This record gives sequence, C-alpha cells and structure tokens, in this order.
Amino acid sequence: MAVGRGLATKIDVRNVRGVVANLFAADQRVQRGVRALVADTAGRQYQRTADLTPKDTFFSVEHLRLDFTPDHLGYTVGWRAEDYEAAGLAFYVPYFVFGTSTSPAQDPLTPAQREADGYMRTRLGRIVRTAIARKAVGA
Amino acid sequence: VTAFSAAWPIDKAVATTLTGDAPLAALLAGEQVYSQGTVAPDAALDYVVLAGSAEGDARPAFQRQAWADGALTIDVYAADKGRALVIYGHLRRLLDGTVLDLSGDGRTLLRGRLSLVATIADPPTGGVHLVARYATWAK
Repeated sequence: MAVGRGLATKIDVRNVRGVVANLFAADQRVQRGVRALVADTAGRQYQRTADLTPKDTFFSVEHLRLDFTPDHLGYTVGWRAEDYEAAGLAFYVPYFVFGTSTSPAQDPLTPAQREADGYMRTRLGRIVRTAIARKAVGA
Repeated sequence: VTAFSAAWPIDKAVATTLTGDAPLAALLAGEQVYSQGTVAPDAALDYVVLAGSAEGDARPAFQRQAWADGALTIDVYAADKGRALVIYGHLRRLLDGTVLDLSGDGRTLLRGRLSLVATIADPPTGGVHLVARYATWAK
C-alpha cells in the first residue's frame, strides 16, 4: 500500500514472471492461463474494494481505478490524488482508509487485497502443476 | 493515567508495556495511551491509540479480517510530524525490544516488530496521524 500521489494496493507477482520467462517460455498455454488468472483476480479485487468503499457521496467508488502493468502480469487497485484535485476535492481517501481522531478506519484495500492474494495463489499453483505434468508426459 | 478496555491477551500485554513506560509518559506530557473508542473528547495532542488486535477489535468484520494475523494497529496523534516520529521511534525501540508474556507465567511468549504504515494529516485536530502496525509471532 502506498501513500503519496495516490493510495493503492499493488500485486506484482515476480515469481510469475520467472515461471513464464524461464521455465515455460515456449508454453503459450501457461502464459495465456497466467494472464487470464491475473485479469480474473484483478477484477475480483476491484469489485471487492468497490463493495467495501464508503459510499457517502459515491465519488470514491466512481473513481476507483484498476491499472495493469504493460505485460499484464501485475496490477494496481486504488485511487489517484489528481482525480480528486481535478474535481476540486481534497484527497480524503487516507482519512477513511486509516481513520482520523474522530472516525474509525474503514479500509477497503487490505481485505480485498488479502482475498485476491489467496485466490491467486491457489489457482496459480494449479496452473503450474498442470503445466509441469504436461511437460512430464511431453504433451 | 490510562484508559484501557483491552480484553484480549496481546492487547493487554502491549497496553501494559506502554503504560508502564515512564519515558513514553514523559513524551506524551500528561496525555494518555488510549484503547480505540475510549479517547477522551477533550484529549489534547499528543496521544497514542491502540486499535486492538483482530479478536478484540470492535470494527466491522471486514476490517477485522485485514488484521487477522496477530497484529495491532497503533495510531499516534501529534501536533506535527516531527513529534509523531519522535513518539513512533520511541514506541518502536520499546516494542521491538520487548518480549510479551501473554500467559503471565513465561509459557506463552511473543516477539513483535513495529512498522510505519502511513503518516497523514488529521483534519479534526489539525495535527498529524501516524499509523503503525505491530506484527507479532511466537518466540
């Protein structure tokens, strides 16, 4: 999670890159499978984050962003300060994520990210195991 | 003087550690270490709030899930960033160097590490809100 010009959680699965680049470079099926999994997980995390976001004005839900890395093996879900500034608003996302002295924290990012992480790990393992098995039999 | 409603062992152990520390009391200049939801309406900066572990946390279920790994959130509210960081630095030295005795008889010991999550403005007080996370593991 990063605070600065925006607030987002990032999943950048480096070991996926390693697997894709080194072990299964020639296996188009693995690459398609992993990219599809990243897209699926990103969509789920985006939706879960939106579900948990406070909806007093709906501005934050409407300006929640999902951005993929160029290779589509990583993504970020979160908000950008410039979207708020462009609308003439203070960037107040950190106040509901972390709470203030008078209001409790209501963090939509961390629970959604943890759920997504578990979802991806389980299915990534399945993709890799299937690919290894396929290699072993020479399919 | 402290105001605690901690009902769970980790919360209690951390609370005991903080409230028994004379240098921290001096840093807070008469203000308190509070548990979440017990901050006095007339509390003056600087003060510390223990948000509680997953079990003892009064926040909604989705928020508890975010911290369901034996971690506490510790919030520091201070007049300025410099003061917040001085208090955080003291908390880190204190907690990272402490073994928590959950059972009181030396049989259930935990160590932990305090890390800085974010430093943001706190509009209600006009001061600074420093968010730290104290993650624990069995010794």
